[in-house]
Amino acid sequence: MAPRVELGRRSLLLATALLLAAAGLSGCVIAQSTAGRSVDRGALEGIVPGETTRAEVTRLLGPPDEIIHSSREHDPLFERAFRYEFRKARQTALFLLIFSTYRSDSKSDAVIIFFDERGIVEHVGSRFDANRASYGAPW
Amino acid sequence: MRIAPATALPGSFLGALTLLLLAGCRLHVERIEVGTPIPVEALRGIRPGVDDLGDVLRRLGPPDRVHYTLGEEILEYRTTLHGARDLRFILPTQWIPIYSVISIARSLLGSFVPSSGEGGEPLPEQGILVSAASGLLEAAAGLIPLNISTDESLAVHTRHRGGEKIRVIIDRRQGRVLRAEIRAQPTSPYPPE
Repeated sequence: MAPRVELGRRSLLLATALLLAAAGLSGCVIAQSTAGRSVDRGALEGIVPGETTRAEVTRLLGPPDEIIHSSREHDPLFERAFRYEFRKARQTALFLLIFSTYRSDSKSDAVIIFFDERGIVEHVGSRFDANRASYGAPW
Repeated sequence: MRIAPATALPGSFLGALTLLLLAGCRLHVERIEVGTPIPVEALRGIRPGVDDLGDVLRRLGPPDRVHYTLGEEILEYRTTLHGARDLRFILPTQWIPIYSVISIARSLLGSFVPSSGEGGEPLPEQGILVSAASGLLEAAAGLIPLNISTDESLAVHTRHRGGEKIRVIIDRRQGRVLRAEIRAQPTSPYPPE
């Protein structure tokens, strides 16, 4: 007579309960964070090298996030450049009980304005990449 | 007489094993990127002795940092890329004797584990093996049931850190680019200096 095989019903129920608990404890996170003030592109177009003064730049774009001093020999506190930056970071995370992933992509909009010795705009550099920050998997 | 077959593992054993596997370890994969990479063509288009600050700003955009020496204006551009794959164990820490053993063992084994440092070199295989031994030691000590606080310990981990740091040096008197320096990390498309 063939032996009767125990199905292990209790083990099956326990494993199922644990799997359900693991599914309930998993999580998915999509988040976005920003730092700084966004740069007004319209106001930036009003800045003309050779014409716009330092005071006009401040009026158009607001106070800078960073003032860069060039430490010139005859004027150690000469304000050589203003820097503005707006940073955006997008994060994607997945939490399963035994496996987790995390990805963060940080890009920025940045503007730098260089002044000459008279305080007139000499050069302008800008980059608008903040919206290129992306969500996704870490691989 | 009916013989009870031993074909099924006891449920309590399966439950305990499942709990141990699920609660004690975790595989973690992560990737962190900061900044916008500079296109290679834009960087190689910089002409020392010819280009000025305006040309650099048009080709490369605004720098992340500007600083000065007596005769130079230095523009810095930075991007970083961090990637990691970790196998982590969650271990109890509140029982002082066990935690002391773990701490001593960890410090002894830690002397064999090279650190990646600021340069961002990837961890070699020797480091991985020692870290695995450290993690297993801690996991074995952690099997004794203890309550409340735990610590997450790396058992096996691979990490790499890449990116670029680009410096464009401009002569302050002549207003022309003197040179461009590139410090490339592993995984960068630029050749190392």
